[in-house]
Amino acid sequence: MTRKALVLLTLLGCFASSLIAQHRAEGVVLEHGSRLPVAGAHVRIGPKVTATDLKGFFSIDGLDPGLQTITVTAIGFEEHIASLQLGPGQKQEKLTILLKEKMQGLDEVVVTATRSENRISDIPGRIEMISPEKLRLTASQSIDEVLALLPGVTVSRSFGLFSHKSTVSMRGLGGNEQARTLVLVDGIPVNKADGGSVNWNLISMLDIERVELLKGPGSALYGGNAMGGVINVIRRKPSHKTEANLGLSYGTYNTRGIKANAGRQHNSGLFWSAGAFVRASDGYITQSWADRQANPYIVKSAFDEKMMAVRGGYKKSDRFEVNLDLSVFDDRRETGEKVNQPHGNTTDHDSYQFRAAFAGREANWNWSAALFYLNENYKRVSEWQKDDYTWYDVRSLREDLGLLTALSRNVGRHSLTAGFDIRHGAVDASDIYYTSTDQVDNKGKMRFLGFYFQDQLHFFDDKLQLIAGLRYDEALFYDAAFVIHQPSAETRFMSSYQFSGLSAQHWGAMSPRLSIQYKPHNNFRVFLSYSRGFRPSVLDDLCRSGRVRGGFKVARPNLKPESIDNLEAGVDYRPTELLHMTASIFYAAGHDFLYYVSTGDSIDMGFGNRPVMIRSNISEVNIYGFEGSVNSSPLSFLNLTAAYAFTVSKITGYAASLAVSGVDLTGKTLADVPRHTFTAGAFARLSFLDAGLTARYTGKMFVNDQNSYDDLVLSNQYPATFTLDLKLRKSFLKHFDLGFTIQNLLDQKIYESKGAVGPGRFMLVDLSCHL
Amino acid sequence: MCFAKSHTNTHRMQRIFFWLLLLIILGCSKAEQPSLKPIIIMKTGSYTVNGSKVPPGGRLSFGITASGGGATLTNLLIHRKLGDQVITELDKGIYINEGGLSIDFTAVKGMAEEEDWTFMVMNANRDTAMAQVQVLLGEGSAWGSLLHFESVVLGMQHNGSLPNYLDLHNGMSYTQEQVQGHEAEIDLVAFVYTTGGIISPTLCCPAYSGSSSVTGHYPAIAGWVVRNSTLYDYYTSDNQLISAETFDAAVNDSLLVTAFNPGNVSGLCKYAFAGRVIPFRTEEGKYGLIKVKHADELSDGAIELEIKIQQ
Repeated sequence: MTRKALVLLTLLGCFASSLIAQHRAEGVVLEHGSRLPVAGAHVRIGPKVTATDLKGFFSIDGLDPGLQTITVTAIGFEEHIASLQLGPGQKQEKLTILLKEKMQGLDEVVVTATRSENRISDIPGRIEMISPEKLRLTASQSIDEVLALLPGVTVSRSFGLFSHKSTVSMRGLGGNEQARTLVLVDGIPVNKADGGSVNWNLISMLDIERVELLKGPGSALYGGNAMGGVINVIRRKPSHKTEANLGLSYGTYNTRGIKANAGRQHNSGLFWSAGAFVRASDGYITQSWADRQANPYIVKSAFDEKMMAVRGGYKKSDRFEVNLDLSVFDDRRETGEKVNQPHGNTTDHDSYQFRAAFAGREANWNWSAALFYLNENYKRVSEWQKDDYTWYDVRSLREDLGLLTALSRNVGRHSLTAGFDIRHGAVDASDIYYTSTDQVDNKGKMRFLGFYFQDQLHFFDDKLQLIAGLRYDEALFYDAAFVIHQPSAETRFMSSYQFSGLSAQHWGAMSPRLSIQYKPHNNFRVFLSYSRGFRPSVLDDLCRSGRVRGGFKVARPNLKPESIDNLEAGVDYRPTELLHMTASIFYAAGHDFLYYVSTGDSIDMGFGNRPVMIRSNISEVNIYGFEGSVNSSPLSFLNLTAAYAFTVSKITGYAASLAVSGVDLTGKTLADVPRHTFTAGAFARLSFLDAGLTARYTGKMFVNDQNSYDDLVLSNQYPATFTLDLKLRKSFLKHFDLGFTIQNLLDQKIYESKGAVGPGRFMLVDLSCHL
Repeated sequence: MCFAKSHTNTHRMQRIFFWLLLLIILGCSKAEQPSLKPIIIMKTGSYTVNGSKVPPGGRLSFGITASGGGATLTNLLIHRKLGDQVITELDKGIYINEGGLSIDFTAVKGMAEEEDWTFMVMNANRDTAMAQVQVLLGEGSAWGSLLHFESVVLGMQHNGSLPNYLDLHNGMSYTQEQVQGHEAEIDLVAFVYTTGGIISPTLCCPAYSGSSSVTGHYPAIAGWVVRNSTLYDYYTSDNQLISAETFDAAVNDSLLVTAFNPGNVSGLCKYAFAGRVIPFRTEEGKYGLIKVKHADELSDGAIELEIKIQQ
């Protein structure tokens, strides 16, 4: 045999043997109880990994023969590990894997608490998580509404879909101040520097994987805005095969919507996804009957909104990962009064945001860096008819951008994390009058630089954990101006409050954290934690003077941040596999809390004298409370939850130097903080139907910080409310999903401080089709 | 030869290309749109014209026509300049899409040697147009007499046993049944409501709308075809700038005119408590003063007014 023939035969043999040796494994991952498919489950066989599609299918090629370990993990399920023998005669394995639903809690992996992956059970602090199953089976129409099911969380979205804005606050930090809670999407902040607000309508529910909530100050890692806690909305990446969804919805008040999304994860590591939704409603009349009699210009508050998002990225291994995404959002919401303008009074957000996140691993170092840019064009059309016709627009351009970094490494007992963040926020706004000559301009910029360091120590086989962290933030407020052009009676009263060319203001804040946890076994842990958080003033308080409810407010460029020192203790106990209980108590001392206080002056705003108010750091606040929750899965298809929170928030020190004599808020209770809240939920996944029933009781809340009588509410407190929501889902014909939602089943009327009434019972039917 | 021909062809093509390019550029460039600014013209006829001499207390009458120049007219502004002092006589938001604006404006000549009147309109593009009239001081005095109604009692909104509707020009008051057919003569109604935590006896007029409007307390007014606007100088009232004694001493219309500050007026006058003196101007342009003699703070109560108005 010639040498050439030998080589050829050898090559052929190798080729043949490689063909023989290549195995393929495919199968389906199902829930143990209901036998429903589990989408997005990670399936690892040897070194190869993939994810299940929406029907739970997976396939992996190129497997070597021999004994392999198959590991399947999915959020909300126990990890499944099994052996797989791939013999020489077998080329293909078809598998059916049944996952058991896990008690939600201690074993879940979260990222928010430490800016790195950790199990909840390893973090000495109170972390809450909302799983995709809960998201799917709650009646909530937006992500913030879901958070109201958690103990100690207050959501001011009384009007559901029809609310122009929403505020989520935690643990007694009321006042409808979103700036006191940091909101992240995939770890990137979405609070705007202008007002600290978050456009919750911009955060689509299309592809959310889970929501993590860190209670108590998170400033030691995240800096400003994390005074009350941190909410992180984490989005899902597409699975291995191409997936596509199309959905239609229709509900009360002619509310209709369409949504679509598609995506794919390629074997090369590249992934992409795209999604969009369009939603509109004819709305309803929010004003009271008395208002309707007095005002002939009242109309329904309709809305329409649309959003589009595209994402792409690459992840082949843990060594390097990049995620890019761009989203665009546009809405117009009418506020229920129309005189001459085509849509009457409206608010309009045109927003786009771009994010680029990089992460990787080099040797023993994990690193990440993220860039973001958020641009929001806000426009408000205001018109009314009184003595004559008044029409003006508010045009506000808000920009927020930044760079966030983190570096972490395990060294012996230490898990070290450090990094720096740079953030910049700016506002450039004008009130442009058309029925008079006035134009009011205000602008300002704020820059933050923060450095942080955290050490997480593990002792005695992780039975004892200690976290020590420290962050320093330096802020600069500059380029501020408040100028009025061609003032008339509309704005002349503000003329004396103009300013420009101010020298820059800067301040610093130190945020320490020290937490300790003892976890003798996986079913029990107890922790104690101290942390300090702060909240910088927003640009609106620093550089804008203008009308507020009850009077006129003056800009104050030299405001200091407010801060809070928080001490809490908590326990988690799982006496059986089917029962999980948590309890926390907390005490917080707030300093330099910001309030509007009357200066003693009054000003004629064109309809009589009104008090001049100024934002001031004037008070000390004490907040204490208790939270408890119980989670049980008595049956494989049924999950029950209940939670209770008790909170007291009182003003204990009031600096009256700037206040009108006789006004003293000492001893008063913070507004918008319910003393008692109770939530309960029952979620069932049956073979023929999925159902979620949730109930929420919110106790009375004071209307204002003076705890005084309010003309519109006719009391000093909002009444207690009890709402019941129901969600039903049914999958059929393999590709279809039908949902029926009822919010506020008992049709309770909820009123807010301006006398407007909520929509009452709201029903929605949605039908979706997926590949 | 071929080369020469080719060169000629090339040159021709270049010329063709050049003209084509020029055509494209000219064709693509936007034709200059004429700038559409608003227009304002003072009416002629029996109006006060530039350079008129008018004695103090004399009537000034201006006629204004304006168009928006393709955009909606949104503002009418009238200034009276007396030396360095500028008084805003009218700063009115309007919304006129079609047809333009045509109004008459009346005022009373003051003591200044020269009054420079400026009339400005603005459209929704915030473009403006202006006209000016100068009025000089004439000889003599033209202050006129006044009508005095010593006691006019009206019921608040839930008092059906007293008249609720008042014609300020003649002091006539009407009940709900009697006012039918007289809606166009009504200048004043009164009601009580709580505002800013204070129970407020309030004077209003049929044309006042928006929140806290008159129709919330007198729903029947919503169906009136003609709804008069009376402007009250609430600033003078709130700050009690005119005493009851000063009111009592007025024997001609000079105080009625000079007390009225057009920069702080509204169709709604809150806090009309007993003792307050409230300057006003009716839709017809008559100036007057109201002294509140008594005011209940109950919606079924009554209010007693003493009124002096230009004759």
